[in-house]
Amino acid sequence: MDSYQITITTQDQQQLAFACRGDQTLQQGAEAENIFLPSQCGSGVCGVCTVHCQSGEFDMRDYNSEALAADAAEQGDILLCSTYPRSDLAVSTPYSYDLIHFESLAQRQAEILEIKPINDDVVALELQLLPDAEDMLSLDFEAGQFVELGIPGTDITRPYSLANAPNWDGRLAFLIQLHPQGQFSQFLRQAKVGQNISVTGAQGQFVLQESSLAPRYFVAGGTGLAPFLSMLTHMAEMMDSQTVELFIGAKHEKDLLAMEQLTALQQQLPQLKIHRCISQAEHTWQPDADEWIGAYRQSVLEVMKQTLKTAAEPVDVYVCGSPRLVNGIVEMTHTVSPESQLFYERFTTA
Amino acid sequence: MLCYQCEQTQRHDDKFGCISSEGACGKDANTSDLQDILIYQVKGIAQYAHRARTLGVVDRDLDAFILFALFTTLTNVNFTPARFQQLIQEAAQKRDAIKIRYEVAASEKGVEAEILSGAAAWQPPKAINELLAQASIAAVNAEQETVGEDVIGLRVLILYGLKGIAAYAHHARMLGKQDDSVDAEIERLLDYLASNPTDLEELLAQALEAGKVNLKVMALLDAANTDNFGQQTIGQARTSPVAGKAILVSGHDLHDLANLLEQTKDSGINIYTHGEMLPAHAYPKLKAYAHLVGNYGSAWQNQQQEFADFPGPILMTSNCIIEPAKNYRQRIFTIGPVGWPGVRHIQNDNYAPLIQAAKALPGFKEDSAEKTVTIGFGRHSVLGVADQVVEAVKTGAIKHFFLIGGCDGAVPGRNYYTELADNAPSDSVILTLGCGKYRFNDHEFGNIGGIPRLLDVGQCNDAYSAIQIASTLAEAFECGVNDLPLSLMVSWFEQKATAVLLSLLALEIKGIHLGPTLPGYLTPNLLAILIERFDIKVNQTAEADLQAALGQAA
Repeated sequence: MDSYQITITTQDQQQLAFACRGDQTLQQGAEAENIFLPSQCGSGVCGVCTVHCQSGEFDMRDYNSEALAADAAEQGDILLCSTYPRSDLAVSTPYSYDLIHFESLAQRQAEILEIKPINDDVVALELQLLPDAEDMLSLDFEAGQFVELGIPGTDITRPYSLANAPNWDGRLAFLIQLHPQGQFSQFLRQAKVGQNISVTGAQGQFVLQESSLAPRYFVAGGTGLAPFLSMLTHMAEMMDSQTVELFIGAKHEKDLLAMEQLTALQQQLPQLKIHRCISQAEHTWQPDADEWIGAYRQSVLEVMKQTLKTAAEPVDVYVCGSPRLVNGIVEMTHTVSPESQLFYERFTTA
Repeated sequence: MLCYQCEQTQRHDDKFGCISSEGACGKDANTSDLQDILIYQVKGIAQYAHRARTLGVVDRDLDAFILFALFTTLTNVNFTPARFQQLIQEAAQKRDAIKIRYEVAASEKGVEAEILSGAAAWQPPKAINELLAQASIAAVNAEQETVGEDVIGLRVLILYGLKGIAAYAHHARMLGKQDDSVDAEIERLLDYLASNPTDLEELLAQALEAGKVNLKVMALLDAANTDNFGQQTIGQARTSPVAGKAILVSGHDLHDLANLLEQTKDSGINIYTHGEMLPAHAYPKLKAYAHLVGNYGSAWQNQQQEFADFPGPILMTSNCIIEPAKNYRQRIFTIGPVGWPGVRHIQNDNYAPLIQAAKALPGFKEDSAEKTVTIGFGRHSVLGVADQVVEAVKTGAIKHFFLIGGCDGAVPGRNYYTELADNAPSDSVILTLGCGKYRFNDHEFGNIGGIPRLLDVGQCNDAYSAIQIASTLAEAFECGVNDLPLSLMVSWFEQKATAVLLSLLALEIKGIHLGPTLPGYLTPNLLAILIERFDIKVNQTAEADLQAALGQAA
C-alpha cells in the first residue's frame, strides 16, 4: 500500500508532518507516529477532528453529515478519522500547536533497591524511581509493558518487562535472566543497592485486551512470566473476574519462578488456575496430592495443545518467552484453535 | 448492536442508530448487547416487583438495584462488558428472589399468583457466547417488523426517559432521599413496557406519566441537594488553577464529591470540579471546604483534552465518560455506575487510591491569574429577587426570558446555542442549566437594573428549579407558563435530558425548541404528533428562531 506525506500547518503557523498509508485514516497515520490530534469518536460522528485540506487527493467516507456539513466538505474541510490519503496532502488545523499531544519516551533515574538471586540464572531486580522534573514519582505504564534499563556511564540499554502492576509510589520490579555474555547481566552481577540507573519508557503493545470477554490463557516461558505477574496483579487490583489460566513452561522444577507470589495472587483472584509444565522433571519431583492439580511432566506446548483442543469457546492466548516458545504456541494455536486470538512478545537475548 | 439512545447516534441514508461493531460513544457491540439484555431482565424483575407491591411486598434494595442497573446503561456511563456479565447473573438471582416473595405473598393472601413469561421467565446462559447469541430477544427494536417503527419509537421514548429518571433517582438515593411511590411508578412503567404495548395513544399517555414521575424525582433530588448542602447561593466560582496537588471531579454526583471533600480535607490536596459538577460551588456546605478551590475545564466532550492537561487524578462520578486516552488512562478513576475496562474503580467510597495518586502526581506548580464565573441562581436565589424581576418585566426593562438548557456535545451545530445567547437582545434574561452553558458562560452579558442577564440555575436536574421559577413568575402575572415571555431552547444529548423533556411535556409546556437534532427514534409520524399537540419546534437558524421567539412574545 502506498504511503503519502501529510503536512499539517497549525493555526499558529507551526508545521509538522507524518507518513500515512492509503489504507489508514489520517488520524491512524498520525497516531502511528505518536502524534495525537484533537479527536473524539474516531468514527465520523462528532466532528471534533475537522481540519481543512489545502491540497491533495483523498477519499473521505463513512461519516455523518451532522459532523461535517456538505458545504463545509465542498470547501475542503475533512474529518481526520474518515479521510484516507490518495496523494500527499497539505492540511491546516483550526487549533494551535499546543493542542497536539506527542508521546515521547521520557528517561528517568531510579535507585536500585534490591537485587535478589532467584536461581542460578535469574535475579529479581527492584527499583525506586526518583521524582522527575515535575515532581512526579510514578511511571505511566500499562500492565504488560516494558522499559529500557540503562547501564550507568554508557549508552547501552536493554528492554525488560515490568513484573509489578502500575502504582503511584514509583516502585518497579523485574525478573531478569542472566546471560554469561550479556552486558546488562554483567553490570547486574556487580551492581550495588543504592546505585542509580536510567529507565526509559514504558512502551509495548503486549497488554491486556480489557474489552474482550474471552477467557485469558497466559503462556510463560522463563522470565516471560514477568508481564503476566504484572497483568495478574493488575487484574487482582481491578477485581477483574475474567477467566484466567496461567501455563508456565520450565525444563526443571527449580526453574519455576515466583511461585510464592503466584500462590498469593490466587487468594485475590480465585478464578486463577496455574498449570506448571515441567518438560524434564526429575524423578524426585513429587508434588503432593493437591499440587498435582495443574502439574504436568510435559512441555507447555503439549499441555496447551490439549487444553485448546478441548476448550469450549475461542480464547485469548497471550504468550511471552523465547522465540522458540512463542513461535511454537502461535503455530499450534493457528492449527488447533484458529478462532482464538493471539497476543505475544518474544524475548531476545543481548 | 442497535443503539440510538443519544443525540450523537450514527445517521446513514436517513437510517438512525449505531449498528456496527462500535457505537459513536465508543461502546462496543458486546457491551451494547449485554446492556440490552440487562434492560430486558430489569423489565422482568419489575413485572414481579410491581405485582408483589400490590400484595404489600416492598423491597427497597431491589428498587435500588433497578435504578442502578438502568443507570449503568445510560449514554457514556459504563463500557465494561465483564461488569454487565456480572450484573446479568445478579439480575437473574434477584428476579428469582422477588418471584418467590411474590408467590409466597400471593399464597398468604389467598390469591392466585400470575404465571409470567417473556422477560420475567428468561434465564441467562452462563457462557458468554451463548448469552450473546440470545441478544436479539432484548434488542430495542425487537418486534419492529410486526408493530412498526412508531410503536417502537414510543416504547424507547418511555424506556430512555426511565433511564434518565433512574439516574436522577439514584443520585437522590445516594443522598438519602427515596420515595416508595416513585419506585412503584418506575416499576409499573417497566411492567407496562414488558407487556409489549402497541396502542399509540396509550403509549403517549404513559410517556407523559414517565414525565410526571420524573418531576417527583427531580423534586426529590432538589430536596436531597438542599437538605444536605443548603440552598444554592449566588457567588463566584474560580475557573483558573491554584498551586498545589489536585484532584478533578467530573460527572454529576454531589454525594461522591462531598465524601471526597471530607476524606481529603486535611491532605493538602485541592479539589476541582469539572463539567456538570460546577454548581457544587454554589452549595454552602460544599463550598465551606476551603480546598474545593475551583472549576477546571468545560463540558464533557472536551474531557480528552482537559483531562490530559490536568496534572492530577480524575474521578468520574456518572455520565459522561468517554474513552480515556492513553495519556491519562492510568490516572482516571470511576465510581458507582461508571466503568471503563482497565480503569480503576473506587469501591466502598474509599478514596485512598485516588488520594495516593494525587500525591504522586505533580499538581499545579503555580497560581494562574484569577478568573471566575458567577453561579448559584437556583430557585431560592432567583425567587428571592422575584419582586425585582416581576417589576422589571412590568416596567418593560425585561422583555423576554430564554431558558438555554441541557447537554453540550461535540458537533459544530451546537454553536447554535452560543449564537442564541450572544444575539439575545439586551432586554432579555438568559437562564442556563446543564453543561450546554459552557459554550458561552464566560461571555459578558451585563445586567438589567442589577439583575444579571445570565443566570445559571445549576445542573441539568435543576430543570426542576427552572420549572419552579417559571411557575412562580406565571403566578405573579396571573397567567400560565405558556403565556410567559419565555422561550425554552432545550439541547439534549442523553437520557437525563429525555426525562426532563417528558416532564416539560407532562406539564403541558408548549413550543419547546428541541435540538440540535431530533432523537433518531422520533419517526416523522411521532414528530407530527408532538408538533400538533405540544408545538415542539425543530431548530432552524439561531437568528430565525430568536426572531420567531421574540415575535411571538410581542
